Amino acid sequence: MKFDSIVIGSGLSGLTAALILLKNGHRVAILEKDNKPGPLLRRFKREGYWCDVGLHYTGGFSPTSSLHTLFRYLGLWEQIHPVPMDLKAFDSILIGGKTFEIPSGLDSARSAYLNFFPKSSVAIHAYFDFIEDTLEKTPYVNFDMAFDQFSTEFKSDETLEAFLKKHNAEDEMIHLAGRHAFALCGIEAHEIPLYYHALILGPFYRGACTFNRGGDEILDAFTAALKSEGAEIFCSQQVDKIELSDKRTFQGLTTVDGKRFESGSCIFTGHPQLLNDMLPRGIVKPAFFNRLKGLTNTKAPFVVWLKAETIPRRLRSTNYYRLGRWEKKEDMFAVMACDSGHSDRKALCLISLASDGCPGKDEYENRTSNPAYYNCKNIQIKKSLALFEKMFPEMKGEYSVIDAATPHTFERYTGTVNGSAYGVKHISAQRGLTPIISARGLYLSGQSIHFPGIMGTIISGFLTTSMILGLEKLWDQVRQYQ
Amino acid sequence: MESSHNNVEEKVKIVLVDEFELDEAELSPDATLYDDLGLDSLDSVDLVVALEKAFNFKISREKDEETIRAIRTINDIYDFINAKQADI
Repeated sequence: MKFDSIVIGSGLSGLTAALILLKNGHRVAILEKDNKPGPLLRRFKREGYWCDVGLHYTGGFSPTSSLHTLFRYLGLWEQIHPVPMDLKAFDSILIGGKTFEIPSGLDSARSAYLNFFPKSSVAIHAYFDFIEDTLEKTPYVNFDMAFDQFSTEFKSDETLEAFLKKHNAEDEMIHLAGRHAFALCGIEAHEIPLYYHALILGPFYRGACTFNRGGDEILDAFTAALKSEGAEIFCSQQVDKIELSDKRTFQGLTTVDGKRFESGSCIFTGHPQLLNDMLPRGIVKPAFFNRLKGLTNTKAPFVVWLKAETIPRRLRSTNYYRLGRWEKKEDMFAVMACDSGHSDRKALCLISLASDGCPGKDEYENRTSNPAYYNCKNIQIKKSLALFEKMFPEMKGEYSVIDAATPHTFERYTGTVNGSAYGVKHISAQRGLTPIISARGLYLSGQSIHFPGIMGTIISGFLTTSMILGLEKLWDQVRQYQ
Repeated sequence: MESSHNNVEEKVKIVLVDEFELDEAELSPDATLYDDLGLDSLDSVDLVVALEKAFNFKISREKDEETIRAIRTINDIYDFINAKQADI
């Protein structure tokens, strides 16, 4: 089958890229390994309760946000109805025995931090000034900015920790900002470049929200628009081999089922390390394969879903984190209500990050015959429930477990290597991948290339597509929707 | 001094042979990466990463970018590495 462009993967970056290419007249095929599009965005229903999988809440939907413009350009704005989280505390973070409530709005968040850590006021002002400045000057957050200006101003590898220490911040302040970001992108304060931290956390500070129908709301809007634009979506199609010419130009690909697809360009949105088995050796140089191999990934999640007739009031629009001590490398643990409209009869997600997935991959593959996998899973579930009851003692006896997912469950459904929650680590010590690699016509997109989260992956879809369509051409189109 | 220079040349050659599948016989100091050796601009980032790993230093996006861009020949790589090591 011949297309102008093929998009591999139907996560948010793939859906975004496909829709942009269609709007620019391409004939587009989307290939998805799972049997339905968007396995990470999509909710599932168990025992009458909707359960969130990958999208729990998001930043980037405040009135001044660039996502408004991008969604209007995509023609999806009318179908998406963000519901703001508690303005006074979208996240409640227990760390070092103290609770910190993070409010929406950059000014409110700044005041809250000043209130928490009066001795670190110099660092806090420098920190929030930097975040505001970054959001203001980033071309894909502020469309009036030129890209070359951005790349000259934002090349510093300085980490969040180095920046805050330089401004004499207290350790507790560094812990809070650092571990909050760790929960949202899987990178600690001593590793995360400051500008990256600002681009991840800034949109949350500006305002956090959920959607009544969770990830389905976004997924349904995309799939309806894609269908009306004439996208061809092929599910249950796992890519086996990518074909390149001797001159390292993309030609086509074959799926595990033996189907062949041809196109002029191809965007790969899966975890980049999966390319290791797809790209032809001898044509792609060992240097690229070694680069893929050398990438380190963020930790994988372990999730338990509970059901309850009524959930505690405070959980309706606030997420509860227990972030532990940084120096002890303790897990991130979070309790969040799943998105299901106004009803208080909701499923809850208990999420841990930093679990290394105790059961081996082989044990998972043979899970029906291997009791070790279930033993391990049950131990992890019990650990999560104990933490949950410690945080919400009123819920003892008021809930039951619906389901649980280990890192291997995530790896199986989302294809991310080892179930890694946020893909490749974007850290100062590791040179990340860009949309352009050493094969012409083959481009990369997704959380491992730009940023995790709704904002990061949608922007990644735009940036990668702009490599095909031309940066200024696409951005001129976008600016008309400002 | 002489031995450390030779060491740099050896290591660079190992990178080019092992990571870019180039023929060692063609790696004369004045061979150009693009015209003579057939590498192209798409290889440049992979080359930077491979050199960082081989020499265990970090090539800075701020400081080294212009020098990196100006690299044309194998000798330019040697000069860049030597200067970088002198810097450390």
